Amino acid sequence: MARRPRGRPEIRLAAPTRALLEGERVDAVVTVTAADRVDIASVVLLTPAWLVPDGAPLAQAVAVGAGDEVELAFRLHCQRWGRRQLGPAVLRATGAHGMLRCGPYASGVGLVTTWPLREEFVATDALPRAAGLVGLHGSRRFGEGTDIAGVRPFTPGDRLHRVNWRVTQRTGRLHVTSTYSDRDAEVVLVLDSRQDLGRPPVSSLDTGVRAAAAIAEHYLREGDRVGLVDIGQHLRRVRAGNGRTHLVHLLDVLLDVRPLHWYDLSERAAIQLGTASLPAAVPAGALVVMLGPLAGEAAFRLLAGLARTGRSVVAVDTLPADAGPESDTLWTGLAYRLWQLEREGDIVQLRDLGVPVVPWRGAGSLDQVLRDVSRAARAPRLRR
Amino acid sequence: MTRPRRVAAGAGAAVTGQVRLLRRLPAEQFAFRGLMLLTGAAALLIAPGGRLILPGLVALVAVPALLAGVLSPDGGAPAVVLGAAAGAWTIRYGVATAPFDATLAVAAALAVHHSTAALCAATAPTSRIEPSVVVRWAGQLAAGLAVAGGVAAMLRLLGRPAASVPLELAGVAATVLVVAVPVVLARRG
Repeated sequence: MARRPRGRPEIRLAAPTRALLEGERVDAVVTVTAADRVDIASVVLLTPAWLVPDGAPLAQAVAVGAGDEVELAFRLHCQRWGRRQLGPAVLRATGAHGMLRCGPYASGVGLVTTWPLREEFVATDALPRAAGLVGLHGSRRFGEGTDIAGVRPFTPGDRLHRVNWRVTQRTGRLHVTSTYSDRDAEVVLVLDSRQDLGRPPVSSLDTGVRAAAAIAEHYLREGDRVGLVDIGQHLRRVRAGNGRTHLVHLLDVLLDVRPLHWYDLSERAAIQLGTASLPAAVPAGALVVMLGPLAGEAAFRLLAGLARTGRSVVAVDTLPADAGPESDTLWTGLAYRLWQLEREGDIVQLRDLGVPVVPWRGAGSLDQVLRDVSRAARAPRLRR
Repeated sequence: MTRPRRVAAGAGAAVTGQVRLLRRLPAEQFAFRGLMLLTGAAALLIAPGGRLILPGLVALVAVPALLAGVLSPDGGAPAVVLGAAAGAWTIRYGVATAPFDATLAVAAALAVHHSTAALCAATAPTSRIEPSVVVRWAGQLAAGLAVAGGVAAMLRLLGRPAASVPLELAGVAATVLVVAVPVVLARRG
């Protein structure tokens, strides 16, 4: 008792500050400091769903010497995209051979951001109506444009007004300023987040968000412009843009995607109005990629509306193969089968309208479809 | 299509929760709780001294508390086990001379049970325990047992005085004073 601790121990939590990717493992470090000796410092780290311990449990008991600082690293596995609060870490201290106990003391909390990027999406460069040498937005291809790519030696065919006279004078050889070409390809991602069917982390919304992130990353890396419309949230639109910053902005918006609850009636009404005006808001030359479980009349009506206005539309079906009703009553199976038949019929009708429907299978999912859409877009059209 | 699962209610939920907790126990927690169970059972077995009618019943009543103490050592269950073992012992022998080996065994079992329960209560159920904590705990326990064993051996060599109720009461009071006075003084400080 003569050596009993007199001051209270301190606890701090250091959460990872950078954005993580799904499936990534990361350390959260908890630091315990004590002015006097603590026999047992029991630390428990509270974690949100989908941020689970990787092997070792999230509780540890250590001894802390007088004036010591003990660091405990808890390895976490990020299983699902989203923005989550990590912590607090809770400390209970025991001293004087178990006779004295104090706590619980809580540390601060941290915010962990997990981006929905699990797999890399790769697609052929068959974009419908990608006007290669006109437009206002830069691409990564060299050509006639406004964004400077660098200075290179003159080659036959280069225009005289491109000659960089300063470099030419310094080096004694003709040099020209090369530029990136300007492209006008625009991709609009339409995410249907009104329903979340299946079980996380492989539900329809998970697949939709991951697919949207992967497609956006791919086309932005190619220098195209990408916009996003979340029809599950009223007025949630991201204007088309390009570049790394725009990708971060898109991912940031995707992190806040939530399914609608059945009682959000006013929100539903607002969404219906917004959805009705969507075809007019999408640029005529844009490729529209709609991602959703294709459940419900509104989704099919929207797709049909976009296709009828002459836009290039691709529907990505994100309904998981194992999705189904949870309760198993006498009529559940039959009702589900009828729903499936109705849905298949609607998909066939969509295909008749020229809207390809493909299930999301990761990299290369849209290759064949994009080629077909591109071919269809180049074909002569009959104006009525 | 997905619905939240119904949460099991009542006693069934409590049992399910305890079973789930046992599955998540790390190896060291499992070992310490096993030691608690063993030492508690040993104390409750030895304390009645083979007499089943009253001391044995007192010990038997404490068996659920022993199991509850293993599952949640930070509750009052370990104290019930200690009290039942001491009660059974007192009822069995009273002021008569108790066998030396059995006394030593009950005392050692109760000391280990108490110390292990304190360690388990000071840590979270799913907590890993660092080797330094185990070493310190084992050292303190070993020191306590060594001192008690030494005193017991010395008493055996010196020979025991004749049993007397006032002497035993005086011994109990002295023990309580020796333990309680420093604690009270320290808390005031």
